[in-house]
Amino acid sequence: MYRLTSISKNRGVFNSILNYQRRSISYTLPAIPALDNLKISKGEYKGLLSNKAVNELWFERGGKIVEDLNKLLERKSITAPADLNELITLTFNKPDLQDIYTQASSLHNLQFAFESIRPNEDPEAQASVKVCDVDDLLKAPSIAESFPNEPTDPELIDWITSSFGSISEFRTLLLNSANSIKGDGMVWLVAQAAYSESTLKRNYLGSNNQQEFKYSNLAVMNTYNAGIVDDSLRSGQITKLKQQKEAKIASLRKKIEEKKSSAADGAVSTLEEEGMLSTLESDAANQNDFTLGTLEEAEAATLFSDRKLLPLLAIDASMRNYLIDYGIFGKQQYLENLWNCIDWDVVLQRAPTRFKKSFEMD
Amino acid sequence: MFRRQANIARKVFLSAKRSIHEVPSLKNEDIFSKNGIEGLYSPKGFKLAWSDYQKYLTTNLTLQTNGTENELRSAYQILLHTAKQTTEQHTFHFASQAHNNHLFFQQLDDKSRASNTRPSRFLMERLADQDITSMEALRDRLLTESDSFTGQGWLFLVELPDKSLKFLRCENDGTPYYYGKNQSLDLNGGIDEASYDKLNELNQKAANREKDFTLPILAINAWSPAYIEDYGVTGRSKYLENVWSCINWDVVNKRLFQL
Repeated sequence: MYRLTSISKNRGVFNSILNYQRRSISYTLPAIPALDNLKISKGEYKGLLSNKAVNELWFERGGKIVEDLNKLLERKSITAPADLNELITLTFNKPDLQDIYTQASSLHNLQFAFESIRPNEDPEAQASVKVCDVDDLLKAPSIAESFPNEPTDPELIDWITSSFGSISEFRTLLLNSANSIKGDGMVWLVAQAAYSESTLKRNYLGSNNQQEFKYSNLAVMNTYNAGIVDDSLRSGQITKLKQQKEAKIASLRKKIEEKKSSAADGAVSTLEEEGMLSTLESDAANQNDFTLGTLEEAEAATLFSDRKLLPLLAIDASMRNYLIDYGIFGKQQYLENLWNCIDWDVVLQRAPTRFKKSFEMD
Repeated sequence: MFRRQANIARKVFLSAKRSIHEVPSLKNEDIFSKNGIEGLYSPKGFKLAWSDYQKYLTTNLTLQTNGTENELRSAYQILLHTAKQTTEQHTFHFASQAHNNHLFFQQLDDKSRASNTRPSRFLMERLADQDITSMEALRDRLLTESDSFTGQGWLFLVELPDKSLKFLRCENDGTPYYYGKNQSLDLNGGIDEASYDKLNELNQKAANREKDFTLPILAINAWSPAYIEDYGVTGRSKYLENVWSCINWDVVNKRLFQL
């Protein structure tokens, strides 16, 4: 999926002398034919973006992300895996690699969003790519029940209908979720696994591949900045940090007791450790507050119940996407045009086999 | 008798006041909208970053607050009232952004005029406590901090109740006035111990119902509308360099507490 430039140095003689054993992998901007063609033809992305916008959003921004990513990888001399998804999985819960994670997932999200859409060939569509003004904020929302570019595959329609009620309800939810993102972010249509990952692990002992997951439900979710959809592996960090702190306290306490028991041999000062212990303990005690929930509770509450989520469709709701062609008042128009550009064939390809539960278990 | 009724009617009319949020006028706004801000914005760039964006924010703020308890409040009051309310965050967004953007544009001026102003000695003395001893150091700090956002954000130089100064990063629509809505952390990706401690500290402050008396004295806008027109999607660094040279320090100096 990602083109890879792999420069293997001619090892051998130099190896022993220079200790030069580096295989440098650098990422390049992925090829998306629809966009690459526009660069040559200088045409617009029909029904959605001008040529200038495509150039800035994909070639310049994408190029910059790739460049920054490669620089970071080189600086930290990290041998990156060939697959960008693997790089994200490797970095998403490591605080010291957060800058790499950020660039990698930004690139992934950008590519995923552009691969979810195709130009809208409707000759009238181009007229709707225009700068909006303040009055467009006051427009009454449409109450239509059917819209252009609805999915046509009967199974997909059935799945969407049973998950959201109807296609138009799904469309409203998708676009309103996008509208509610004020900073940078994406809206995703995801397939949600029927059982949580921990349940699966318990039952199938480590068999953790895609085939094992049964996807029963579709859902709409938002991610912000460089957030990724499948967050379940990342979550639990806060709880882990708390456990680390508790372990620290326990080991300090043990140390003090050991010193005290050996104090008979000589005057060993335990003051320093006791000071550290009391500050750590006061921190820990603070977390047992009944009026305001703890961080761990907050984390547990926002988890997607550690269920595997598979992204099917992404919509980029960040301001930069519409500012160039639609102006500051044009988000709604941009989103409506974006709906008309959704490539349902791609969504269908990404969709897993639907799993129908015969009864609800959890 | 008729007169009395008319009086009552007038009283009713007067008490049923409504307020509409308008784009505040800036000093030199006429020149700015005709020529842009020299050294920073073209007229089109200024229009998007100020006239249009502020219009967007204030119109939305009016729509959000119409018929609510916030109807008669100023943007600043609204942001304070809504900061803690989880269901009022759309309103908070528009209030906080309108306030921050106004704060930002008040301190901008043409490069030729801005270059005649300097941070006051008093301000530099306060900054020296933060290991910022020269203009170059201040510039470096300001530019690195404001260019480090993954997404949108604001960088503030704030004055704390003990009159010391500090840099405050606010992601997205964060506000410097209330610690619970500073939004200084981005919790995507790995979470380190410092962020965890910071979160606990915020939790503790909120549990103790601590008040926040922080005041911003300098605001830097790192949102897309502030630079996309003149500098492009990837032009934030260049834009921030230019912002530095267009800060009218006289305005900033006056915001600092003085005896």
